Amino acid sequence: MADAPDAERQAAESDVGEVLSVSQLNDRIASVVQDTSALNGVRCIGEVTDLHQNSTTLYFTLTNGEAELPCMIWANRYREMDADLEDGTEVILESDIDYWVEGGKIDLMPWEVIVVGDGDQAAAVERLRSEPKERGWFDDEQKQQPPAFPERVGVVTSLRGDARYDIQNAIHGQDPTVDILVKDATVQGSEAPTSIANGIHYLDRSEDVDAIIVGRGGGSDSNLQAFNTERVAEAIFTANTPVVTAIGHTDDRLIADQVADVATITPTAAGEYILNSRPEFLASETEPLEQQLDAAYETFQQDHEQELAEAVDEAAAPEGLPPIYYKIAIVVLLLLLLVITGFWLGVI
Amino acid sequence: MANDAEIHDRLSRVEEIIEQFDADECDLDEGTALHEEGKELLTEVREILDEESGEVVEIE
Repeated sequence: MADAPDAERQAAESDVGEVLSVSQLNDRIASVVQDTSALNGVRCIGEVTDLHQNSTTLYFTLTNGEAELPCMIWANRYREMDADLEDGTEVILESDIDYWVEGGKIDLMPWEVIVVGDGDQAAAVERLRSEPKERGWFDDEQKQQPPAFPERVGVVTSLRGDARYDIQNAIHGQDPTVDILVKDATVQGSEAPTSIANGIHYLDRSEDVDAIIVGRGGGSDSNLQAFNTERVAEAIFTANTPVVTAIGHTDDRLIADQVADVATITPTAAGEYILNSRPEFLASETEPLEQQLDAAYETFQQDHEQELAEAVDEAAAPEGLPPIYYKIAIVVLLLLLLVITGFWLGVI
Repeated sequence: MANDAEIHDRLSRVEEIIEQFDADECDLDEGTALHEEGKELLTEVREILDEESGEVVEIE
């Protein structure tokens, strides 16, 4: 009996240094997952987030706020279950664990779903949403319009994420003269609310920051929870500088989006929204105005030149009576001459 | 500071000048001076929009 573990250890040691293909390693992981009895038929409690469905499969993430697991249920199996899942539903899943070899991804594949009720996280978000709403933080009157021609835009996001490049490229695509100040922030996890709020406060106090973009490149609902916290909502609401959110999601609106002066769907959209396109502005505003100015001046000049020409003619005319009087006088004189000649000849 | 006010003020003044031409409120000499002023304002708008390339500053 004692020989068996030794043999296994020796086999394992002989494999050290062996180079596996990705497929081989994935096969090996899959067999470990399938053969480990502790991973079969597990029961797990958590909250459903990121629920979405296509014709064959229902996908969601199970989370307890600190950790999460992707889950999938075949649509036909889900139809047979007595469960109506939505984001925020708290459930106990009785489930196998599936390792997708080609994609190298673990999923829970529940065969039983027991609905416990609304999850803590969903209830907390709803509670939190009601408070700022009552305080008027979502009201349109509270919104500030970001300037169309900012000199400097502040961005609160992770320096290591793609979102910052999307925002930078979009801003400089619109107007390459704008300065961008990127304040690093942790955008998910327990540190995120404080980090994001501090980033907003920092940029709000910075001189000459004309607008602030707060963003990240999407993620699961549980990854976006920092944007559903009072801390971030308050930082956005109290900022004197207009704040634009760019959190990269399309589902339920986050509290941060509702408090923000402008909410955009993606970091790129925020960069494009926040400022006017310089070439477009020149083509659509400045150039037509210049043409209008030139046309108005030309008409004005023509009118005044005609007046000027008349004035010049008038000035050039000889002084004295107008020519018609001279003509009449000549005719009268000729008539008088005819009358006198008539008398002299005795004709009259 | 955002450039909105600077740009807006200049464009508004150009619009005013156009209105003055349309209303024929000035003589030829004044009109010529106004036209020059309008052209100058539009040049300034282009200069405001054509400053040096913006920089990206990272703050840890």
